[in-house]
Amino acid sequence: MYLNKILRPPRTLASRLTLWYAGIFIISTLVAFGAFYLVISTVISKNTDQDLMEDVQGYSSMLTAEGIDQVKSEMAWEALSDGQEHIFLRLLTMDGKEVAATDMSAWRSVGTGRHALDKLKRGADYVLETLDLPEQEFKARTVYGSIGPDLVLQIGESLEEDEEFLELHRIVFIPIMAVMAIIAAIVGWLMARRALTGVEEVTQTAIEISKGALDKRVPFKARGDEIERLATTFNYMLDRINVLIKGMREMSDNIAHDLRSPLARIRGVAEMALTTSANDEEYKAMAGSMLEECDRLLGMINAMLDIAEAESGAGETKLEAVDLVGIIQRACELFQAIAEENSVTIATELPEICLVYGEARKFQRMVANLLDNALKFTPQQGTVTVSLKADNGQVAISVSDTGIGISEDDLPHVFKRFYRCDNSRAQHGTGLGLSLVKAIVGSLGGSVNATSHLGKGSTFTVTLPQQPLSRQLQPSL
Amino acid sequence: MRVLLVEDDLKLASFISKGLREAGFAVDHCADGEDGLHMALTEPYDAAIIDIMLPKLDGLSLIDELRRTKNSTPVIILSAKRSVDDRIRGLQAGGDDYLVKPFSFAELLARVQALIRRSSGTAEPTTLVVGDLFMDLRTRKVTRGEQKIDLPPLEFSLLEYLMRNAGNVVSKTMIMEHVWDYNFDPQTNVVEVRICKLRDKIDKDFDKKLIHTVYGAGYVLEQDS
Repeated sequence: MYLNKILRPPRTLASRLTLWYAGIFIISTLVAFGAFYLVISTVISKNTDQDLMEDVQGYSSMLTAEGIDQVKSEMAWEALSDGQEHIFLRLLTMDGKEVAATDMSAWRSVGTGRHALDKLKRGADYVLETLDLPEQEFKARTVYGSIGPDLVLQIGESLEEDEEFLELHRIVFIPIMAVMAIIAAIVGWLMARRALTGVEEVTQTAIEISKGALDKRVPFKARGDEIERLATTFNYMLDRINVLIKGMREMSDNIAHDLRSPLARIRGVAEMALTTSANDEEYKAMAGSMLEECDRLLGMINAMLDIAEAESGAGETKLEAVDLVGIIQRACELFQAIAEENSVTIATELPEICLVYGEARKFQRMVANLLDNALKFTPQQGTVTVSLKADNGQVAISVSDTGIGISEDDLPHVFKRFYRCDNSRAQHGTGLGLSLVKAIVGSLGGSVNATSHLGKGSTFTVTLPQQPLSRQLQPSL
Repeated sequence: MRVLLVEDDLKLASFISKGLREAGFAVDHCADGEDGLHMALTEPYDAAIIDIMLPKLDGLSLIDELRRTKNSTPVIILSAKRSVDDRIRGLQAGGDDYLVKPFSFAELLARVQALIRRSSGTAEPTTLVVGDLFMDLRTRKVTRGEQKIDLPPLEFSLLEYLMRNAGNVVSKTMIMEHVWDYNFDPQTNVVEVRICKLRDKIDKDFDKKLIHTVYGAGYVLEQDS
């Protein structure tokens, strides 16, 4: 179990990256060295063979020019000068009989090499063999070559120098390899650390936030890399969450304030019904007013849920082509009766048809709330104008009235939940109509704004994209 | 007409039972899903009203089981969840209608009656008559007594809805939803104003009033007995 634990690589990304980096580095170095070693040893042995063959050739010409005695003395001379334990030369007949040889005391177990002689008989120029002799520390290379009629020269040479040269390579390589592996690990570690410090910062921030420091943000470094994008996205997400939390807080505060008053009225009426004696008609009236208050409460709760739904984008299931002009016309028709009752004119400036994509219900509600709002604040003989313009893939719907207008102080707040301007408190309403408009418009990827002149009237303009937009929450980086 | 009510909220159940009995229905009440399923499978009902959140066996499974045994009793689902998804799930499970709590009793009654009417295969009437008020749905003509009454489309459909539900209270929400296809209540009194206009045309010149306001609950079209 314990061994298992040691063998299992640590689970942090940095150490894993380091291990991978060092491992791959070591493997590629080994491969490179192996290839290098192979090339060198091939070249060396080729050179040795070449030398041996040239030597034989030299003796061959010497035999023709100066006779066999000169050859024999030259052989003895060469063996002496190179060292007799290092090299041997001998002359053989084709049948393997020794004609002459240098001192063979260090080469006792060298045979006649019948096999090689057979090859020469069959017409080969040279025959090369590697000898592994018990009396020699190193391997040896030998060449057989015909230098005259029925005369074969064999030269054998110890490979000591070559082997030592290669041995040196091997000895030098191991420490170099070790040093390089260590350097590779260190470099890998540093690189991984550097790449991951950003991640560490994000983690730290997340830890602090989870402990309650909601205003914390990841420190921003303009590095322009993936980590910076992570940090920016993370901060963006935190901002959004913060806004949502604030919204929720505000909402629950508002609920506490605004839902309590209808509840208080219901309670009051119920209490009165229980404590006073009244006739049937009076009881009915009390029950009726309680019902009305309940419906108001329900309306508010539903509107709040609708706002929340539109803001979170949940419940967006249908995406159908809707004729916005038709919806506006039907809404105007519906509100016509109220307008007439207050001697207000509803004027429209609409094209034939205007297709948008979304849920018909949402558009209905948006238009109805805007109309409702405009009619509420327009005095007698006033006019409410609804117009729709479509160009460039954008639809602009504006509802303007000749009503009381909104003061500059109030204007930025009209879309807030439960916000009611002072002069609107007399009107009955929930204070949610415009918030719902804003939420719906937002969920459709559009925007709404209001302009107003006190005493002259207000204009609410909704701008919507005509095509459905793919929901994009990505921050623009 | 016999109706099964499966609802674990006893106060709500007793209020619904009472209302349905007053409207002339026989009502059986079960407080949990298993009882409800047993009753639904053993007794013949004209309609069932089933809550989604039930002890022992939830409403959707109950309906599922009911439909698997080829029982086609029309079902109205009651639920506190109002999202479109929940609505779809309820209807997919085999419910015939879906009503979100809190609801007005008038609406529940109207829906139960509509369901029974539909499932019993009653032919769509081509004329509606309440007292001396007569509506021809094909020619879209309305007369009261001898007098011909002209109504703009919005008021025609409002009157049609009131006449189809003659004798029953219809709430403002029901009117918004069923007559004008708006499933929400605008803040302004759209419905009141329309009713007022309709009254001008239907009731003003006659001694016997047909459209009555039920304070707080809605409107009812009926002949005074």
